Formats: sequence, C-alpha cells, structure tokens
Amino acid sequence: MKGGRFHLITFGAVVIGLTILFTDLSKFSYVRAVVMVFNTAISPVLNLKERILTQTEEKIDTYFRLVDVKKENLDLKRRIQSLMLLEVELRSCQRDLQTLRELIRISKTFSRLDYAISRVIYYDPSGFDLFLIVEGGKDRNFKERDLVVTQKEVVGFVEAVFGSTSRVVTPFSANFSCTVVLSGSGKRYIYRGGYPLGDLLHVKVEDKVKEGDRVILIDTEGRVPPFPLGVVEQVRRGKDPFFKEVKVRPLVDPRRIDYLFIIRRRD
Amino acid sequence: MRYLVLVVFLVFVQTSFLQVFFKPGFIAPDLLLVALLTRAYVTGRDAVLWAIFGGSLLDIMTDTLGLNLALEPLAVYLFILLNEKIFFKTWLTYMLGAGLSFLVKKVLSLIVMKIKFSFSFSLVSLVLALVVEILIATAVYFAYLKRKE
Repeated sequence: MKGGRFHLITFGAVVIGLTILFTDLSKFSYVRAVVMVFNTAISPVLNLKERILTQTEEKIDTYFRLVDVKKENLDLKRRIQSLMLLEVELRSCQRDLQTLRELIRISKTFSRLDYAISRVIYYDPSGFDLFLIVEGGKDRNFKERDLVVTQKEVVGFVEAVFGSTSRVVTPFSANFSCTVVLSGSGKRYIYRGGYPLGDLLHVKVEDKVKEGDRVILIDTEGRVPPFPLGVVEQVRRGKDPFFKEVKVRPLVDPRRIDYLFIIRRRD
Repeated sequence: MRYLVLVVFLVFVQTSFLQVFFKPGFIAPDLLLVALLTRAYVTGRDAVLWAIFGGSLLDIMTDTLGLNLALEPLAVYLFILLNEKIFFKTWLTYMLGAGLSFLVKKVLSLIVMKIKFSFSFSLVSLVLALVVEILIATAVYFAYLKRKE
C-alpha cells in the first residue's frame, strides 16, 4: 500500500467508525436490516460467545465463593478448637466444684429458695454502715435472721422486723456473726463483724490461712447456697498463743446497693 | 487464511473470556491489536486492512458498532508510522510503538465511550489491561518476531 492510499484508508475507517458510533446508524431501518442479516448469519458464534461468557462468569463466581467458604471453614475450625479447649476447662472447673462441694459438704441440690426482692430505703447515718433499713417487714413475712444478699455477696441478716420495714445488720456490725469457710479449706470458722474489718474467730496457729483467701458464708443446714462474704486481709499472731488473729474485709459496700434479695428462713 | 483464523479466534477469546475479568469490556486486553501490530511489524502497511476487518468483527461481537472500526486502524496506523521513522529494529523500538498504540487506543476508547455513555471504571483494571497487553506483545516479540528478523 503506497503513500496517500494508506492514509486515506485509515482516515476513512476512523471517520466511518466514529460516524457509526455517534449517529447510531445501526438504528436506521435499512442499516438495521443489514445488521440483522449479519447477526443472524453469525448468531451461532454470538450464542456460543454468550454461553462461554456466562459459564466463565459462573465459574469465577463459584471459585471466589469456594475461597470464601474455605476461609470461613478455617475460622470455624479455629473457633471449634477454642470451644473444645473451653469445654476441657469447663469440665476441669466442674470437677473442682465437685471437690469443693464435697469438701465443704454442701448439698448438691438446693431446694427452691423462698426469697423476696427489696429496696434499701435508709442507710446508717453514722457512716460506719452498720445497718440498713429495707422496704418490707411483717407485711412481707420477713423474720429475724433472714439472710440478705445481692447476686454477688452477703449484705447481712435481718436484725429487726417492723410493720413495713426491716433493719438489716451488715458484716461491719459487731452484732453480725455467722458460720463461714475459707476457699480451698473445708474447715468452718465463725465470722464476727467489725468496722472496717471483721474477725475470723478461733483460727488455730497451725491452720493454713493466708491473705487473699475468700471467706464464704455457709448455711450449716445446707438450705441456702454459699455466698461470698469477704476476703482475708491480715493474718497475724494474736495475743492468745493458740490462735491467729485473722482480719476479714467484707465484700459488700452497702451504699452501692439499691435492691437486694431477702432469703426467707424456713422454720 | 491462517491469519484470518487467528484474528477470528482472538476476537472470540477477547470478547468471551477476557471481558469477564475486565469491566467495562472494552478496556480488556486487546489481543486483536497485539496480533495486528505483529502483522504490521512483519508486513507493513497492509495490516491496516486487517485492522479494519478485525475492528469490524470486534464491534459486531461486542455490540459497540464503530468503536473498534475507528480505533484499531488508528492504533495500527500510529504504530506503522512510528516504525517507519525508526531505522533500526529492536525490542525497545517495537515496544515503544506498541506501547504507544495500546495507550492511545485505551485512552481514546475511554474518551469516546464516556462521551456516549455513562459508566464507571477502575484505573487499576485499565493499568492491568495495559500491562497484560505489553507482556503479551513482549512474549510475541521474543517468540516470533525476533526469529523472523
């Protein structure tokens, strides 16, 4: 192809191409007829192309979906392994619980507790938090020595029951005393309230008691589940050569309590 | 005849496979253009006629009548002109012309289609398509054209 013809053909092709594109020439009736004939002639090829296009798209979609599924599978496997580990830990905890239960001799199945939900209506004005006044008294069948707790700790005992209120003595009061055990030991002790620390009475010198041990209130008759009462804060040699002096910090902070449970004592 | 089969086959592959990976379809790697440039490198100006035929075929297969009929010959034309101006032929001179043709065709396609239609495209896809074209052109150069020289 020589000189001007080459340029002319190229220029012509470009002009015709752009004209067809921008004028939508293919929509004119006579051109449409030509295009339709042409399309009909090559329709098998176009159909094949469309089929391949669709199949390729589907295959690629499937591939990416499978990749996602594989990733999800890996994540799930990791989660299952983690859950299996947790299951092992749970079983270990259950065994420990069983051991502890046998150690402190508490009943396996507590009968359904008879309790009432009450509200604190008055705090100890002395600031020592020795008692609380709660809503409900004789009208709700509260009795003296009913245990008062929150979901997490012991609040005290009902000390006096009035018409529609009750006075609850807290572990900070010297009037509060109960049977307790230390976590990890089945031995029972008597806790006597005090401000700011209560005392664990008659702890023998050879008894293994250390700071940080949890003090748990137990019902000697096994009708009420154990509730945490406090934590051992000081252990020292007492004046009496046979016993240690053990100070316990109660867990309860009476001024933070709004609602509490009163577990009715069954006679 | 062999070249005709090759052109039809490449157009088919380009419109059926490559357009799945590149959206919109006209930015997909232009295998036809690679074949046309190879032809132009070997036979010279006659490749423009193949470009017109290939471009028309591509237009029919992709339903964008006119776009490739205009731009394929233009890209080949630029490549031939550039090639004729350079006295020595190396991979670099070949790739210079080919790269320029690929770029011009892609950019003009985008401009023309943007004027006519509204669509969004990814710059990454465009660059990737250009890279694929350059890689294929390089492979063709070393596998076929170098031996021909």
